[in-house]
Amino acid sequence: MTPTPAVEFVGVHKAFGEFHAAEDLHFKIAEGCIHAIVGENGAGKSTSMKLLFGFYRPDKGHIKVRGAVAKFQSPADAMTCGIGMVHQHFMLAETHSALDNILLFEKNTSAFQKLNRKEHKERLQNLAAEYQFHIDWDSPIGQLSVGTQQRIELLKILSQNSKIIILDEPTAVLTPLEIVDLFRNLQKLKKEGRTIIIITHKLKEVMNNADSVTVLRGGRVVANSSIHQTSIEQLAEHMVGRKLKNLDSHPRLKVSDQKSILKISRLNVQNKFSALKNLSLELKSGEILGIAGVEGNGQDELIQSLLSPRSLKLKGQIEINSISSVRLSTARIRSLGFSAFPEDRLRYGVLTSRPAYENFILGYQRSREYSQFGFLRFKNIFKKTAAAMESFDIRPRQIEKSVGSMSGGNQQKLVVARELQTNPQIILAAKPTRGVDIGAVEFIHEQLLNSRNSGAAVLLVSSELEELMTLADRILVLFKGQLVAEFDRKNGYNEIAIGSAMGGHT
Amino acid sequence: MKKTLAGFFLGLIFALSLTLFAGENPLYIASILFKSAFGSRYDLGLTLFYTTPLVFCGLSVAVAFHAGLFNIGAEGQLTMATLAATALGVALPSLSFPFAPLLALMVALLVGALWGFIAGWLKAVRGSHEVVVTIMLNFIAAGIASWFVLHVMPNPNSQNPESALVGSGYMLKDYDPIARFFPDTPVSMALIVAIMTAIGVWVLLWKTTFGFELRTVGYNPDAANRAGISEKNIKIIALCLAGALAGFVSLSEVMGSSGQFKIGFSADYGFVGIAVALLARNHPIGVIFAAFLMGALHKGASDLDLETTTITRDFSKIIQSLIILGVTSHGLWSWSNRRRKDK
Amino acid sequence: MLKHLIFFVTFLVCEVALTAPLKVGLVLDKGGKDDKSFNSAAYAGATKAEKELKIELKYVEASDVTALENLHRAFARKKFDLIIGIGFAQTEAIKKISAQHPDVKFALVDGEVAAPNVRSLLFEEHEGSFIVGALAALKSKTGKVGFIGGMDIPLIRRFSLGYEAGAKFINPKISVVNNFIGVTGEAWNNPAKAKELALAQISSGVDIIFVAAGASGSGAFDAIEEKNKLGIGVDSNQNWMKPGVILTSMMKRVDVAVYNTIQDTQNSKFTPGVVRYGFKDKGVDYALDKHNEKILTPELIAKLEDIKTQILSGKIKVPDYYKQSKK
Repeated sequence: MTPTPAVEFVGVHKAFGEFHAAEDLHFKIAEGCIHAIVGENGAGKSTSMKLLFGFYRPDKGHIKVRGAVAKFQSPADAMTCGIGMVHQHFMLAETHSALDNILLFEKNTSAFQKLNRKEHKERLQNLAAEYQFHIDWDSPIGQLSVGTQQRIELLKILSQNSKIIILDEPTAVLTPLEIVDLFRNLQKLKKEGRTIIIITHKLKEVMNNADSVTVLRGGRVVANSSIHQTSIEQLAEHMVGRKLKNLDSHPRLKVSDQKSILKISRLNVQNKFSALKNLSLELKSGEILGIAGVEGNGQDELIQSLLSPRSLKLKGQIEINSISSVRLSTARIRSLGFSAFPEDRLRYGVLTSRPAYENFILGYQRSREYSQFGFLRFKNIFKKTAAAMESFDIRPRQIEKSVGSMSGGNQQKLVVARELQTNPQIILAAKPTRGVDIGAVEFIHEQLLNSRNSGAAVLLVSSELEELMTLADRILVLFKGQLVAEFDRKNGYNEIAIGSAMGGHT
Repeated sequence: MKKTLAGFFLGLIFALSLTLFAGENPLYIASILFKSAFGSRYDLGLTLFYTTPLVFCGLSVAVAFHAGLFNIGAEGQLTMATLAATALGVALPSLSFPFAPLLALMVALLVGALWGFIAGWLKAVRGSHEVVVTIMLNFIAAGIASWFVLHVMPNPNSQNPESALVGSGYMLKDYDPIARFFPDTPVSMALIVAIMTAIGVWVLLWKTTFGFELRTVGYNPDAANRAGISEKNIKIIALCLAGALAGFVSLSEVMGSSGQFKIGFSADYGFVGIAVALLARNHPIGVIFAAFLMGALHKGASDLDLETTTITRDFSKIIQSLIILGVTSHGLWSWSNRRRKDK
Repeated sequence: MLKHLIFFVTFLVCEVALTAPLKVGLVLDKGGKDDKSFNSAAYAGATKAEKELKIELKYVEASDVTALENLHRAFARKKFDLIIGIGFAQTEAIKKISAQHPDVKFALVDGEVAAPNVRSLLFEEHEGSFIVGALAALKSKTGKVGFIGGMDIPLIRRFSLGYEAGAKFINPKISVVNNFIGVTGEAWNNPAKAKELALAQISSGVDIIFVAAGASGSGAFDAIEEKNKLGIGVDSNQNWMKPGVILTSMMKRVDVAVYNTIQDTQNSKFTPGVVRYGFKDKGVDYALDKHNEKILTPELIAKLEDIKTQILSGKIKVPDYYKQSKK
């Protein structure tokens, strides 16, 4: 007789309007193991876990927790039942201290009771010591590192003594070293008999740390397997539904014209949070230059200095094609042949409530092709958008469809199609595959390599080591606003070395 | 639109059932509302007279809204514009038709735009919130208007707080088919201008490159900035435009009907304009119909006092407010729908 | 269908009931019938006529400037026999509508319209103000009295000029502080501002204030009561509002004027033209009742009656702002 699983999904359905987020989900998660839920964006990973955590209620079917059918009305019910969740975007009050954030979750107190803070602090300190968490208890959370914030979220759950812990994309925001740390802790929790569920799309992490894995695609379970019986390739194939190309073998044309097209010298920026210090770099036509670094080390300032220098107080020089750009408007800079994939698509890249064709002309609306005598030339716009959607395989293939209703991958493909429509000389690709499914990642990477091969210069700002190592001809590491290390493709990339440079260890 | 209309009728039904407490038959009240808004050519004329400025103000709010701005200042903008048109008409009374009203309108639009520009500039350059600024500008405009009307160009023949009359060349009356069709009412061909302006705004917003840029700033200012569209410039221009649209009110008020600046002439057009824009979901063509609806409501409710013994001026204001509340609550409606679906 | 039927029946019932009595429409000014002052007086006169003369009365309050004309027109179109407009603001409206409806009779309080179907009801406010001014000077201990007017218009200036002259008649060295609440119709309905002005006057040494500000007056009286000073009411008898605090009220008998006009119309004695109300017919007067009999001593009353006779006999010439400003 097999032991009762910690969690079991039995024929679970969940629809949002027309969209079926989860269809007929069946899978089991054994007690005391690390189980990974993998899948592309919109595959139903988060939905299924939010069903388990009581955020949503299944339309059909049910979820069993330790053999009993769970009928959670809210996350509070799930927590009472010993389930905890660390969300992708942390649920922390940034202005409160770590201690206050955890105490907010105390259930055994009424609003009118005095909290015994000292007693609680002692208890939590002991708990933290047990897991070797070093936590500054009294500073506002907003000032602590992302890794620490995550540990506080975990501690919040541990102080409730939850037996089932769900982590939604826990490694997305961590440095390579912090990731190692996280998984060491998760192994420890597992040894204590807790069940860990991680939602992720990073297959390497799954292979290295999980015991079993469930693959979702389009709201359905496509594979359930123990980790020993599968491989990265197999998982990827399940996720995408087809075999992936190996981009390492993509041709890299040697571009003879090696003139430097973007030159940054001694750039200094002082912003509210972080800064750039004495940053200098050169970007040549026909190369992909990677800027590696964990988020918040000056990437945003670098991007801003390049695109809208007038909104910043900056010192130093930026030259695009030997033209100084530090006093120019964004429109003027773009007209110099500068294109950009924004680092945060929803914030900087698209108008979610607007149709694809309006998004496709955004930034090019004044070009002669799309505008005449001040009026939009809809015929051209529609034709061009339809053609781009065809060649970039953007689905659904409807130019009237609002971008908000597209998947992340298709949104990003639309942005890429838009930014490449004028064959730009410089492409600033900031986190080009953030929140994008594997199929689209492959496509976008291919496009960047093609642009490079046809002579464009690409500045790739990313925190994903794999992406950088796949694409970049050179990698510069940005740490606390300074370029601290340089790696060259010719010498072969050393993942560990780049990773530690990103963590500030050179 | 469906939900908005549902909200409208929900508010209407709720307001009408309140009249039960005053001892009235709600159906009777509804019939008065209807009859006094559309019952005769005279009533319809008055309804259309109230509709005209509401179209302009609704457009003013809607255009600003498309640029992501909340223009509470239509009242001040229309006050300044109307004052400017009157001042011109009083200062140069001998100008003749059609040059005179055209010039007065131009001046009014300019001054309205200027009043919008102040808020836009402060927003773009100093980051001051446009809601606060436009509210304050409303007070300033009211103060300037009072001072100007009472001390610079008062009406020598009346104790009323009103300005002297503009020259007769400024008045549309003799050339105005609309006014002739609705005798005894202050409605004028400004109504036609209002409808044409609404269509013009629609074309501007949805067919021109500038309109696209303006809407982009409204949908997502960060994305607009990245696309090389200057959020600051667009916001300044949008508020200038909003001010000019509100400034059109001078056409219906001064050149179209009264020929002078009467303090308190505006039945809160600038504020009801917000409700109009809301009701129309900021669609320029929808604004025409929403303004007509609100105009009818204003006219209908103002007659309740006259037609019944228990429904007073204050009660009819309650009715109007409840309907506006009903309209604005459509957001609440969709929210509660979503909750129900989740469960 | 049902809606139409109900509407039709109600309409029928109304129509039948209304044929017999005189139909009177009353258009009140922005202050409204509950201003306890000017409009209240008009309303009181009209309701008295409704009770005693069995007329059909309908009153409305103006909501905005453009509405005034519509209200008059609506009454005229409904074939009311007599329409009474309260306040100078209705002058233009009555001028226009009376010309369009020569068969309807109009009466206008505080304004003049020369038309064969309009009676203009004017009051000698300066005379009444003179006498309360004299009373204020007699009662004042500080030698400083105040005046708070509603809207800054010639009509209210007429009050203040008479008041000042009355005070100076008793005590030539007395100082009179004049303040106005505003310049728009809102001034009749702003008690907060009135209170503020009263407090400011009192702190500058004023101990008696004449408040001619419609519904705003209550705010001033609050301040006067708070600071233990004396106030003088206006238009209606306002003594009851704060017994012992309100010295007297300068009564402008709008109620009498309204009542008389209705009565005349009912008896087919309506005459157009200007009818002036002064001391002669008690159209203006100071109020004496149980609320102020303790403060208004017989000696004071004797003095006031003496001044009254002097004004009536022409011995005292009360300055009239209307005549002054026309010069």
